[in-house]
Amino acid sequence: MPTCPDCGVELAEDARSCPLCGKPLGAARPHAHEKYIDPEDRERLTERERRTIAWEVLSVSSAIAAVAVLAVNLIDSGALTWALYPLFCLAFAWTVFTGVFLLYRKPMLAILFPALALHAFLLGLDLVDGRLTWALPLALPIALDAELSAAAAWLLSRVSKRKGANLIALALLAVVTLCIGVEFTLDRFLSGRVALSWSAIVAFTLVPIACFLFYLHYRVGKKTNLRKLFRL
Amino acid sequence: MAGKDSAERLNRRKARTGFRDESGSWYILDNAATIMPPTTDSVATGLFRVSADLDAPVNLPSIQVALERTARRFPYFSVELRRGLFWYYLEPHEKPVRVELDPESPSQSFRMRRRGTCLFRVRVRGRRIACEFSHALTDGTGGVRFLKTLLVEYFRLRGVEAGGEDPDVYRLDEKPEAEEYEDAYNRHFSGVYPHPEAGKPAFQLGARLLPRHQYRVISGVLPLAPALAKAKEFGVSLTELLAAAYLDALQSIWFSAPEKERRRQRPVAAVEIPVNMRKFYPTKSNRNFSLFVLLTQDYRLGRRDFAEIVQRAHHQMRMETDAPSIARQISRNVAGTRSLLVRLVPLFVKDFFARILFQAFGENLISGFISNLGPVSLPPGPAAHVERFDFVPAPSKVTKTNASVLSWKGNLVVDFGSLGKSRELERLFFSRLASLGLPVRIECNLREES
Repeated sequence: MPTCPDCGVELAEDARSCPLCGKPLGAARPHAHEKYIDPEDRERLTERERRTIAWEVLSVSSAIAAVAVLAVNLIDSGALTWALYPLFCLAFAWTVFTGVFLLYRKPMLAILFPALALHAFLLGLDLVDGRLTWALPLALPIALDAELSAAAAWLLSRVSKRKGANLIALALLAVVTLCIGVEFTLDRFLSGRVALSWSAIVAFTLVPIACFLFYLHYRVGKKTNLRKLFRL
Repeated sequence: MAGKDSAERLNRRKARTGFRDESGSWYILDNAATIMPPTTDSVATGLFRVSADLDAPVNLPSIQVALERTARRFPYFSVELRRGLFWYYLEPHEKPVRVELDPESPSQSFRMRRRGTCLFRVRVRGRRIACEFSHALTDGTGGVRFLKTLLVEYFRLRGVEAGGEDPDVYRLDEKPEAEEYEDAYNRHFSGVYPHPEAGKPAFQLGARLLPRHQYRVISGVLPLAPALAKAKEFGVSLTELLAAAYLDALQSIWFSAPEKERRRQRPVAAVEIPVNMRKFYPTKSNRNFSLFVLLTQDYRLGRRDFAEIVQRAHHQMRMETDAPSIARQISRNVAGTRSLLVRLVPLFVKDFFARILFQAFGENLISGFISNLGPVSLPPGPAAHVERFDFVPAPSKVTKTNASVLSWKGNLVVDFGSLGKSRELERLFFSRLASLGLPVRIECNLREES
């Protein structure tokens, strides 16, 4: 009968590690990773190796697409003109993917990085023609609104211990805040005067549904007996 | 007669703690347990421990299976705490209870109010099997019944048959009776009596605390027969003799302080002795059913010799454990929770006042406690493989040091649990026993104390 040297308890005959302290037993050390990697045998690749292959494939594909777009633009008009837009989009996609790849182990940064990159991308896209027109008053506030609404919904869903209808309710509330933000930004940009109309209708429709879903989730769905809650 | 019958019916209704409906089973806390949720934290956890040291390393697969089977027999222990609008209640713990590794410090890092926290846990290391129970669930008697049932099942799985019956070992193929989880305080409430006299704030050890989550257990093992003979020589019970040694140690600490320091200390020591009410009232309940006797000593009246302290402890115990004294303690505890005014107060307000009242009229009134569980027994098969039992008191930040006692196979085991750095109380207590001619062997759980 194997015995854990740390906890001093007897373990099952086939135990590889101690279920209490997690230490592997002498006879069952983890297999040493073999150096030879067969790319077709995915089971033998580590997570990191799989991610590296995916990044390499995306980088090569992006480079091929960029060269192709550039070549077509130069052959067509003899100068770099419209290709700037697709090149910019490709660069943005590649940057976001690379950032997420590098920050894989830091989830907060991996989420924050694309959010910030989106702002830089929108600003850069507006500046392609040499003038700053729509990015600052329109694109950036709407992007920020969308990001904050999504972040708030995500954070609240993370702290929720039981996930269900409450997540749909949170998503609906995020849509409401996004719509209000979009109408507010558009009104200010187009007429300089804010008068919420369609976003208010969205709010009046979705907020009661969200409340109903919260009620379903936290009271009815849990089969909570009111006798327990209100016992005197 | 009719009045008595209706009071009896009301008591039985109020004593019911288990309910079953479309949402499954749920329980309410017994009268003594209601104070626990608001007054405990991850250091003063309210967890006491009963443990057994076997003659061979614990077999992990067997203890896990034994635990799962035993936990099914005690569904009223496999529960989590929930908040209602007016009271806490208990819901079944959905996941199977897993055996954990026993760390150096027992009864630490436990938050009973956290969701998913089962109110008891089983920990093993080497040859030791330890069960830690929240006082929101049960007292020492209920804890020992669970441990004994677990041990018998464990040894059965290891090929050791019980070879006899024990009333405190439950058959795992039987369904639990409702009386096993009744609130015996409510069942034996016999009317409203004048409240017992409120005590005065008691002298407490001023020791600095150990680092967070360190809980020191100093165990003294001594032969039972000479200890009983010594108690008989004094004409008192063993509990009274040990309580006197405890009071004597406190007295030495108080009088050893410089005069200037002493003036700042409270001049009255009070040692609390839990009394198992099952001796006085018939019940099968495994919920809390203990009351307390306070043994006091006023230092302003001067130092007393040990024989005098022993006699005073004996007479105070006798005075406080007669039927009317017990009835009025039950009356005070139960009448409060039956009052409509108290019941209508929302839980968060109750919690707020419970903390204040517990501080002012609970731990503040005692210097420490010494709880004697008495002799532990097991059927002969498993008994041959258990070398020792321990009973460790729940940690307290206010009194810092408390003691628990039990006896097993001719040995008396006294476990002092302490959150304080000073070991002076333990040293004086065991020195006193040694000076009475009782040979004491001392052990400590902390290898290095920081």
